[in-house]
Amino acid sequence: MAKAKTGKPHGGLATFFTRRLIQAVPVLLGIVLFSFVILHLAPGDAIDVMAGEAGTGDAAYMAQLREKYGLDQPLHIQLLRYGTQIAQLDLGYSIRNNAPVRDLILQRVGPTLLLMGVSIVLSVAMGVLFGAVAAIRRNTLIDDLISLVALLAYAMPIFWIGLMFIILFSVTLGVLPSGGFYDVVRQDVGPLARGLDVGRHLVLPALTLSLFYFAIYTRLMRASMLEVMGLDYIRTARAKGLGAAKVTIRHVVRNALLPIVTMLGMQTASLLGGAVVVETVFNWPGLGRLTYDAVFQRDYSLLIGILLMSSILVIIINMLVDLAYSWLDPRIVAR
Amino acid sequence: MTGLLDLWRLFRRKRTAVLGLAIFLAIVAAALLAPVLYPDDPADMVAPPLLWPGEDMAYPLGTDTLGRDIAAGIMHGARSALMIGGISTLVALAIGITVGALSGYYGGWVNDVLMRVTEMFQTMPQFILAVVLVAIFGPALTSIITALALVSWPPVARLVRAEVMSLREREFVQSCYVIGMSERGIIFGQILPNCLTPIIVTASIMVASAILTEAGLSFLGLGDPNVLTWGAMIGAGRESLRSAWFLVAEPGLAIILVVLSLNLVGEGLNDALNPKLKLR
Amino acid sequence: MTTGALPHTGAPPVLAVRGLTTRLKTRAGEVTVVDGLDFTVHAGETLAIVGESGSGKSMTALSLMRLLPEAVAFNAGGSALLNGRDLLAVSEREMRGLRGADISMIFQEPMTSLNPVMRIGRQLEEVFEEHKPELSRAQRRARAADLLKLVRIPDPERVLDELPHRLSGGMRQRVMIAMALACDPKLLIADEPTTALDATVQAQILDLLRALQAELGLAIVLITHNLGVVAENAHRVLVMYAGRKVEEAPVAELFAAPRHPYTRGLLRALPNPDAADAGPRVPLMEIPGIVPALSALPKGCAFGPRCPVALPACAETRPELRPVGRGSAACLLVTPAEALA
Repeated sequence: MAKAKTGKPHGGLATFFTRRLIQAVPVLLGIVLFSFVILHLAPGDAIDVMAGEAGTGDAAYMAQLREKYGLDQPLHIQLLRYGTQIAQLDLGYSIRNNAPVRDLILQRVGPTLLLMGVSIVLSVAMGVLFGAVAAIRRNTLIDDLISLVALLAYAMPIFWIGLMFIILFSVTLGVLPSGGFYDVVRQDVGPLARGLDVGRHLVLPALTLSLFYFAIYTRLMRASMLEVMGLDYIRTARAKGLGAAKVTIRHVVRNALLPIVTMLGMQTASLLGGAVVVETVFNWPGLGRLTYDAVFQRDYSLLIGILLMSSILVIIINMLVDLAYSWLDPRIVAR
Repeated sequence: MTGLLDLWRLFRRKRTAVLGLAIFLAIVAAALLAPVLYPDDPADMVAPPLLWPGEDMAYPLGTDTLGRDIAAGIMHGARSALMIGGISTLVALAIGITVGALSGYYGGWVNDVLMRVTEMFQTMPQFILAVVLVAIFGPALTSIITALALVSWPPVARLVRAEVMSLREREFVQSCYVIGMSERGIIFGQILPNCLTPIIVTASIMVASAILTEAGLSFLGLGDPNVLTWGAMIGAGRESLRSAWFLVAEPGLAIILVVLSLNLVGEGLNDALNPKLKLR
Repeated sequence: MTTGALPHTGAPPVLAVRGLTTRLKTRAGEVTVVDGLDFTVHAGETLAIVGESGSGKSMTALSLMRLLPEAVAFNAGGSALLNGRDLLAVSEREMRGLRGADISMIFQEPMTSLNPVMRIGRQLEEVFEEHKPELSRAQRRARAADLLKLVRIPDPERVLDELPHRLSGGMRQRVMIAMALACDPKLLIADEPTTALDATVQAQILDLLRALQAELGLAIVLITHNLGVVAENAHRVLVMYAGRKVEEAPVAELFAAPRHPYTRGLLRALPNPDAADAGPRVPLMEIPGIVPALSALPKGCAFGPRCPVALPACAETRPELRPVGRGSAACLLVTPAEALA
């Protein structure tokens, strides 16, 4: 009874994901409605932007375009059309790029996920490690140093960290590339060499993005460790005769990790936003870079598509975080 | 008054908090003195371009590619950072407190709807949302402040909601019912003053993160072109990153100082206002 | 009620504590929380340590287990011989070998004393991993199940796979006892083991401890503020006040003829179980005042300021323990003549 009921998602993984997606529907609908509203509050529509930049003011042609994209319909009809469209995973058409928004986004989502994934792992791993060391050695020089670094990293603008890394590692030391996804000059290389090359290009963006979150997790882990260390069951573990290392690893760290995972879930949206900035600094061809381009092309439907898609990404990543939580804390049944 | 004095006594026990407050006050002073010390428009070209810091003591922090005085820029930038951070936080507090108080006090469907809305704003990546809003409504101060407020209110709403929900069951609020006070009177007169403590702590951190977000926006070129900001200075300096990295480093250090000081003050306030936690 | 002390056969005590002194570093400076405590416990015997909160009972227990954090507490003298080995003098490494094996402890809060994310079986097996590494995995599990049977937990195989939050407080305290008994300790320290439990469960746990003591010949140090528990479960009683022993006596004698005014105060605060059929109820008496701060103890008797029969001399002289009857008490009013009686 115990084994079947705890630690695993209630009713299997598929049911878990289905239920969570259904729960997310109201929030997603809200976001769609919100996007629609800001699109229509925007001064001028996509056609105006195009006409303005092309310098043509041909009213007849513009009216024709509006009709083609349904922009001449009453608002509620437009909203309905918009909703139906999105429900069919059609995020609209980027007139600018002459391609469906969905395709533009899907092309770019991979590098962003790679950057985010590596950054999450890096920041959590370093944060847990340094936070734990600071807590174990509290009120020593090491603790003060770690806390100082975390405090500073927590106050640094992400893009500034990136630029400083470029100055240090690319310009001064010349050991790492300052941007891009891989070395475009090197053609005809095998998949392994290409992978390594991407890895080399990933180091600085990932370090940059992790540093801020590393600071959060370090501070949280330190506080969480100190709290858990004072709990009754830690005294029980010591009363059993366990040594400090076993007490720390088996009993303290595992329980102290729980708030870290909760925080990780709360930070997903912020991390994705951070990725946007980092990508523009390092010319990383992901969603952030796409956002930047869309901003300067005034490509509203692409911008809104990115906002919608990134919200869906956040929802999915949060589900994975919840799964991780239920694995760490068997009291929780993932629902 | 004695309340403030007590607070200060608890606050000053933590040296880092006092240090943070000192730094913050120094930055406020710089912002206030900027028009006195540098009465001219900081966007004016005043000296040869790309003077390195210390090269000419009249321009201690150097000049940028257009010969603008960086020291003047940083002091004027402090004004815009504090103003944008402060106002957007006030707006966010207003939204968050209203949503949180309504949803916590009335519960039921009001709570359900408002919480879905809050969740919605927490699902959309804050920075992307800010970029989209500013891109669509144009890079002017009002749209930037609105965007910053719109992305930062949800934590306030959740906090106030939780406080209100626990407070409304307390005896003193129950007795307000009994003596027939109006609901508005109860919310604004009795409940909200009692959750001021966590709001104050949150506010100092919010100003810090609004300054960071604003810097990110201006760095991407989404700042108000008529307002000089640190983020925009970094964005402009980026072009000559390889030759004159101080153009990027100096405004960045200014951002770090102000954010750091606000975080330290927030932490100090938190410790001073929650005496329970102090023992740890 | 247990009648008097066990007739000792002259065997050496399991635990002999002499002059145990523990000091705590606080913001206001160092304070002595346990001050020159002497006592012994024999196999099969239960010594109760009683006193109000802040009297140093739990500090005594944690000092013996050496579980106080080194950063704030330290041993400032004395010895504690467990079968001849001084717990206060052995290295931390040796102490780890003794903790959970030769000397075990159970705590007040069963609800929070077990790791919430670790299954019961795993938490029990951990003791064997530490102290009996020669056992195989299967043997460890089998022994863990045996332990649960020993503490009368039904369906032990199922409970091994449970998480603590699925068990009641009483069950959790049984698990704690099982864990403490895993390696056949000589001495069990029970720090308010039933305070957090409701009355029925409390009685069950105490019955269990008594039965286990009879089966295993355990020496038990029972720390409690509840004299009702003492009366039914202890052989001898040690009364502590402000870190010092103020009286010690066999349980029957202590209840029949308490010598120290503090002990008398504690007994008056005890509801009389016979009161219901003994005519009009006598109101419960509380001892007026509170335990003094250890950093500001009076020069003379620590209980002086609260004592209803204090003499002027009590404020000047700190009374020494003197033998009285079959025990001892630290009060100027306890006369040698009474001791002879």
